[in-house]
Amino acid sequence: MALLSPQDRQTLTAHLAPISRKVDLLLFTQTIGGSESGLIAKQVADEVASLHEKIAVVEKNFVLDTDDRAKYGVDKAPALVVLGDGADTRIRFYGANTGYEFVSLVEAVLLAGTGDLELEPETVASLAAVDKPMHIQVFSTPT
Amino acid sequence: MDLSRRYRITGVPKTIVNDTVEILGGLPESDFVDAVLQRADGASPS
Repeated sequence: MALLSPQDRQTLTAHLAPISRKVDLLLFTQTIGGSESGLIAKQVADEVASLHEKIAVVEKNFVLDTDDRAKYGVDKAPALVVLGDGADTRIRFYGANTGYEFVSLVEAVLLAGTGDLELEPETVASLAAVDKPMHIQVFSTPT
Repeated sequence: MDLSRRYRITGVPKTIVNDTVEILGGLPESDFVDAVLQRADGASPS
């Protein structure tokens, strides 16, 4: 059963229309011994991918695809790695993107698919001056 | 360890920077950037 209503699909399709780059959503799930959120994460990812021809879901096995887990630093499942034109955006989603976090996923896809930061020039300048690694985790859904 | 316990997540959104800095709630863009960049130098968590 589709997650989105026809009206929502129309709205989101228009919102994602500016995408010009290929967007791959690498979805790491654990089918055996994993949580039910993996199934939900897949359903959400598939729904987003259906909104634009340049968005694709690439399924990865959290247990078996060890090389990709190491490459993308995935240590929890379900996990979504966002690639733009094959390049790692370093955006990660852990857990299922339901509720308000569906919007976060859509915006991340739009960012990866267009390269448009939509940040203030002052912000871009401040971030360009960062000279040490920064790991930013945003908790958005309580367990 | 469960992440929500490790980072004492009692409300969302909560942003953790470099495992040391905590930012509670949503902030306007400039305020968020200031908080992330200023506090990421090892300042005490809020």
